[in-house]
Amino acid sequence: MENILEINSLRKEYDNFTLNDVSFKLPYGYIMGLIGPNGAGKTTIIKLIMNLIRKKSGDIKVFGTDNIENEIDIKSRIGFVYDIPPFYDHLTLNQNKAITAQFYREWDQDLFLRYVNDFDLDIKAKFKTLSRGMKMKFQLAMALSHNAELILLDEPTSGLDPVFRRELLDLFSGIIQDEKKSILFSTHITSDLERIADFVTFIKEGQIVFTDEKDSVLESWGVVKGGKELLEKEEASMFKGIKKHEYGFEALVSDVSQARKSFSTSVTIEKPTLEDIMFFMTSKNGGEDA
Amino acid sequence: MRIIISNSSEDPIYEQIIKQIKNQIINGELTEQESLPSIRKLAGELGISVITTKRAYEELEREGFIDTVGGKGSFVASQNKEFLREKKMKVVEEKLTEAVSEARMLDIGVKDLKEMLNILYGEEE
Amino acid sequence: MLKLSIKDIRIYWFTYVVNFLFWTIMAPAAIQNPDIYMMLPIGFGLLIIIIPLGNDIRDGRDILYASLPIKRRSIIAARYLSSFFLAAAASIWLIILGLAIERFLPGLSGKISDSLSFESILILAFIITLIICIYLPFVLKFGFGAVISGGIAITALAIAGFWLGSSCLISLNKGVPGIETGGNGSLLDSLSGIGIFRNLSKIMEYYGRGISIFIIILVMIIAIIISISISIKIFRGKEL
Repeated sequence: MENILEINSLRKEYDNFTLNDVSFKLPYGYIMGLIGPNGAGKTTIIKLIMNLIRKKSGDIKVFGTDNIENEIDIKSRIGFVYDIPPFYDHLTLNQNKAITAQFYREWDQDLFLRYVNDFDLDIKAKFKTLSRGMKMKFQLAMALSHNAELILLDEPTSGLDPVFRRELLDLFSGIIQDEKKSILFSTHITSDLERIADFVTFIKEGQIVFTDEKDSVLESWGVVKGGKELLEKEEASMFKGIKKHEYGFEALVSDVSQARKSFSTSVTIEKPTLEDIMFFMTSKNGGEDA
Repeated sequence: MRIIISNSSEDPIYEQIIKQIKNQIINGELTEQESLPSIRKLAGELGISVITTKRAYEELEREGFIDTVGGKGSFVASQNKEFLREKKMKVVEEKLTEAVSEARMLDIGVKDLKEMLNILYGEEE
Repeated sequence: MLKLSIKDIRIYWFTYVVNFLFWTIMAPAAIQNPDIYMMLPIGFGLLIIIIPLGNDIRDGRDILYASLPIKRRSIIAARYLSSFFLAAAASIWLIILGLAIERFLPGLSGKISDSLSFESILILAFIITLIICIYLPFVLKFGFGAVISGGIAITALAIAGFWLGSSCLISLNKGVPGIETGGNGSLLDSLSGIGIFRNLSKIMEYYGRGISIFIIILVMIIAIIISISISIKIFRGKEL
């Protein structure tokens, strides 16, 4: 599989936050979810790919070439949807489109109008009158109307109603059908990714916790429940994010088969959701054993 | 073709797909040479990851149930009759094994079991 | 890059119209003193430039342009282009307006044509160019906070500097034929600003029209080149 996006040992330093040694790959034709708590570094990664901010070290390859050396060509093939829409509030959607579309070689006006129609947008409306959801839809219509091969979305679903979120995910599935386009979206709403993501990259406090096929992650990680006396055992070191309660404990393990071997029937092991993983990994003892 | 995915099932999704397609091939719902949806189309329709459907198809191909022709898609493999019969026998055998172990637990002997079988067969005729 | 400049005009055209009307109405009040009137384009020009620049910076529009397939240096070049274009439009408008008022409403005005000449327009262009060349990198570096305060400060300094500098120049050259200052041509007298543009034109003529024009234009070009280079450098390194 060729990679549409390759990130190697990326590093970015701020005063009180560092993105450290971030590496992951996304092949053509797949969807990757970038998950992590707020402030983990998801937006930073997207800004680095778009060269809005400068990296300290490491490299980013998009479509096989360096993202800075071939910046213009790469950007003409990327569709972006940001958390905060960068458009002009006092202009109409159509005017905003006019300003932006003129810079894309492959702008497809008919396609744009089809999306506008599907998304129920009024192109004569002023941008500031739109709800958050509609603003996102407009950004999406823009991002999908110039034959972009890589779609980058930063928190596209927060603030959207569940109905549209589902529709959005269906839309994403449709986009990657031809195996030539890929989608990377960051979110802290993991339920969106449960179904359609092919790959998941979990980032916490600027570090990658794992990057893998979503199926593999959900099969090898598990939520373990058992009696508190088990916590005394040496093998308990595999438990992450231990939550004790009156009648027992819950924890996360990254290797279910190992947990079964060490604890067999004395614990219950359940299939995790991505949310479980994020929850346990971001609680107090979740970090150290990563 | 019919595929129903249960999120609450213990089985991983790819296994559910494998089982359902297998069964439909065995009981004839899916016929020889019938074409199957592409892995991407299936994933899109079910709203699941392409990697999941890919895995299911790869497993089905390994076990000889489907053939994938590059560029053309996936088809139900020509099932030779023996092979199919064997598979079906296996299904019945599994169910009988279950029945036998239940019977043992309840102290029901082989004679009683055989009688039960006769009655059941009789009913069906 | 042209498209980028035009967008500044398309987006804010309504605000420009309002500004143009405003200054048109204000103009007659200032026209009593033709020299002060000649300075109006400086203020108007700056105000007009602040509109697209300030709005874009405040709202973070640069994130949009930096995400499109556009080189960062094109974004900067376009800003300079539209700034100069807008300032020129503002100046030309005021000059035509002044001449029109002089012609059709003679009672209202001093004679702006007294101060108007190729040289005085060149001097005006020179001041405006310097202001733009200092203002743009300044705002790029210091962000939205500097947009208005910086603009006003730079313009005020420029006008004051021009006034003072010219007055000194004139009083130093009071012997040059054609110079008219009130009184005996001391520095104090020159500061009144009477006939400042006319006097400067005479000085230029005296020292050689051609060479004065050449030097002024050369300095303008150098200022623009240096300024754009600095701005591009600042913007290239800017984190958005």
